[in-house]
Amino acid sequence: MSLLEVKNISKKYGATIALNNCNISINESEIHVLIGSNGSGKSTLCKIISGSVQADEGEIFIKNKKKIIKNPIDSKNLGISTFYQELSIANHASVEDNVFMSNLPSKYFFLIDRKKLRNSALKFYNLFKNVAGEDFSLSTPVIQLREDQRQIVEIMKVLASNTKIMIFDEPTSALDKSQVECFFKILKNLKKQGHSIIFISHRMNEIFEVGDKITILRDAEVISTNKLSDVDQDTIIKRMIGEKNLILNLKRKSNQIKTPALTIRNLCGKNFDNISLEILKGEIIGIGGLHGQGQSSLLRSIFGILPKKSGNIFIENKILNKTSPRKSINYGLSYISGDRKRDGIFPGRSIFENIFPIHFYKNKKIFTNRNGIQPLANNTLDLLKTVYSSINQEITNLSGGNQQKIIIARWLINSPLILLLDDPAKGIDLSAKADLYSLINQLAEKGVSIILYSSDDEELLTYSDRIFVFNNGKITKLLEGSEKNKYNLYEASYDN
Amino acid sequence: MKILFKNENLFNPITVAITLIIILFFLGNFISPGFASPNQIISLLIVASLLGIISAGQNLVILGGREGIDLSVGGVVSIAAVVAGNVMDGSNAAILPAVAVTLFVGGFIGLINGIGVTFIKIPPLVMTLGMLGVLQGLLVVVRNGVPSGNAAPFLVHFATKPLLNTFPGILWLWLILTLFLVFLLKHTVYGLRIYAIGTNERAAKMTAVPVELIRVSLFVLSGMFAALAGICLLGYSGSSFANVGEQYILPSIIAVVFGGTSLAGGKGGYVGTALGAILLIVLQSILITIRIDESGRQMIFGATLLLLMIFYGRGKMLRS
Ligand SMILES: Nc1ncnc2c1ncn2[C@@H]1O[C@H](COP(=O)(O)OP(=O)(O)O)[C@@H](O)[C@H]1O
Ligand SMILES: [Mg+2]
Repeated sequence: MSLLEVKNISKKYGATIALNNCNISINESEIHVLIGSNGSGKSTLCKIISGSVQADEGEIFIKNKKKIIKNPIDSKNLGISTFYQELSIANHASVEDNVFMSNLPSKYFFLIDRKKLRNSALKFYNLFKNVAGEDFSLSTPVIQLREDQRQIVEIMKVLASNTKIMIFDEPTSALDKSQVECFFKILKNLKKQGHSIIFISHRMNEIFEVGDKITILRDAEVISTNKLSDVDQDTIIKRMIGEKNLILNLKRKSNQIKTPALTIRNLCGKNFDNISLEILKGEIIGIGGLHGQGQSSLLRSIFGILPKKSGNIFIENKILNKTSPRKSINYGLSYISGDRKRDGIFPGRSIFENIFPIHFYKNKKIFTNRNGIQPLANNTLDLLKTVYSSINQEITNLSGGNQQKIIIARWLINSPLILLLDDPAKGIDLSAKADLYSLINQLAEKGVSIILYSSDDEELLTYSDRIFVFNNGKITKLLEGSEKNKYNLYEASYDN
Repeated sequence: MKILFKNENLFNPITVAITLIIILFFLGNFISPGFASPNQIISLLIVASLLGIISAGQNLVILGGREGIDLSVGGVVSIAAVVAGNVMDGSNAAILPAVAVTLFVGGFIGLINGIGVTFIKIPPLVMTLGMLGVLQGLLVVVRNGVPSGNAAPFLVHFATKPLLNTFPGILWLWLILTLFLVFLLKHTVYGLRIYAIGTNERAAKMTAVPVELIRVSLFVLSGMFAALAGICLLGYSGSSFANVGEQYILPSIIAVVFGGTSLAGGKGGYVGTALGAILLIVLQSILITIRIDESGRQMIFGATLLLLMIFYGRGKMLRS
């Protein structure tokens, strides 16, 4: 019998269609898997069911009765609780406070009953006690926890609400093997007790281990729903890609000089392990795979923002021992992050101030010489087709794409030798993206070496010469030549 | 676009401060005729310059962000007055060494603040409050039995009498300092780096800004500015007496905030702060004229700071 049914749901964010006329039905005692590439609409669907986002069209039925869900409280009252992909925990509260955040036990009407809270929390704590690590306790403030421990807190929070329907949006993305096993044992138990579970994961083995049914999304649409026993990995990947997209191997014109620009040997660090690769002058290397498999950490460690644990980095033939941004800059390395708010811009300051810090450093300047160096900025900004009115304008008054171009210009005016691009086109519009990539191509043709990480697989396939696929912090596959296509990329990314 | 620009100018902290200063002078002159006479204005400016010099350091520390603030300036001013007074002890010849020693002491205290905040990661509020306590205790110990020195005649002249038939030297000093700070913040790489670490420390690190060094230097400068103010204060009052500096702590912060510098860091400049200092001194003088006592004035100043925070906090929300 179907417990939850979603009919003809559509949702747009501005011009982006996040969901288009989607239908899905979840039975009692069922673990229902959702799969689809980044941006296919999985999280949006979960958020609509849990009331944190409103659908533009469509209906939701629970036990065949139509229900209106306007906010998360409605959803909770209907017996739905949700693990949010971006987590919904309060950073400064303790683990136990977070687990019972929505219904803290009270005494004398308004005081929190600490004893009761501890006792009820203990039950959920014990479930994960052996796998969560020694530094994990009920009184620890969440802010001190690692990513996997935070996910466990969010899981405990859902379990504590004990609702009939539970939604888990990528709950295992940071968990290790033993933690996943522990979680799956709980899930299977819940299913036995009659709960219905929506589970999102990118890992094939996990899906086949716990799933009963699988619904595949692609480009905001539901493609199919099947019993997992009726499909295999190959079918799932093909459906996620779509038949017509299977062969996608655009060749980039390149005249490579076969001298290595950057060599990495057995590099280990936070979130990645034993990475070796070599980039030639004028080459664009893609690093691909699912989000958060260590790609970003690798780039940050090379640049010296994160420490490396072991391994060597060579620039041409010189070994780079202790890494730091200053040292990297001296060696001609540049790092551009797509998270410009966090890593890039000086908010509220002028374009001028945002463009020149590297220039000042490299040229050991004491005075800014505003008028003297302005043409340098103007030229580069024009090259990038940046829209701005004056160089003294505040950067925060520009659109996201133009802000990103300023950050890119910051590095380009210093003629970089190696560019580390960490999802550089994140959140910028299509025309800005096109400008950015045509510039990257031009740079490569001039001999600049580029490592590109992009969360958009199409970008990666189109613009890189070779792709190293990352899975769980390791390179699991190198795709070059005719192997460089979407199918192989997905197979390597989703396999483990 | 043009209209927007004009509007922004209208509510620019500098315009607001100038307008308020003029209004206050008219008001003062109305309450007590002669309030806005040239001589009276000069003597108010002298008092304002002391606050202005202290606020310069406060301003730099606040601009550097990470909740930067320097409460120890009060203690440094007091200590500086004592040290300078003892070293020069009424002799013109000893002024230069006295200034050198005092600036060094101020800078050293700032260095300790800076190291505590930057490397030991003590929150600036706590670090400098602790330092203030230490300095106040030190003052009590040092003063036990030891007579405090006197200002040299030239220093007194410098701080109170016209220099070469123009304004008093201390006002010239303040003007030069103002020009220096404006230039520093706008046209030197060091200045831009202060804003960089104040707005986005992470991005600053990635662009090779020596974040730690700059943060420490800001506290050192703050200590030196406070020490300089202490020397001027010695000249202004002739001899040092206990805890003269303490009364400047709160006003030095208010002047900075009034001048449009955000307590979150990375936004603002010194011209506004200097005007803020003048505004506060004029306000204080009016309050004295209408016989509001010390505690009343403290209350009014405290409330002003809170109001300013609400006002600018709101502006921030409205903008985004
Ligand atoms: N708050 C939002 N504002 C604008 N666009 C959004 C927002 N949330 C999601 N989107 C867009 O909707 C699409 C679907 O996103 P999402 O549901 O998060 O996908 P998934 O979880 O499958 O990766 C994407 O194109 C994404 O960029
Ligand atoms: Mg998602």
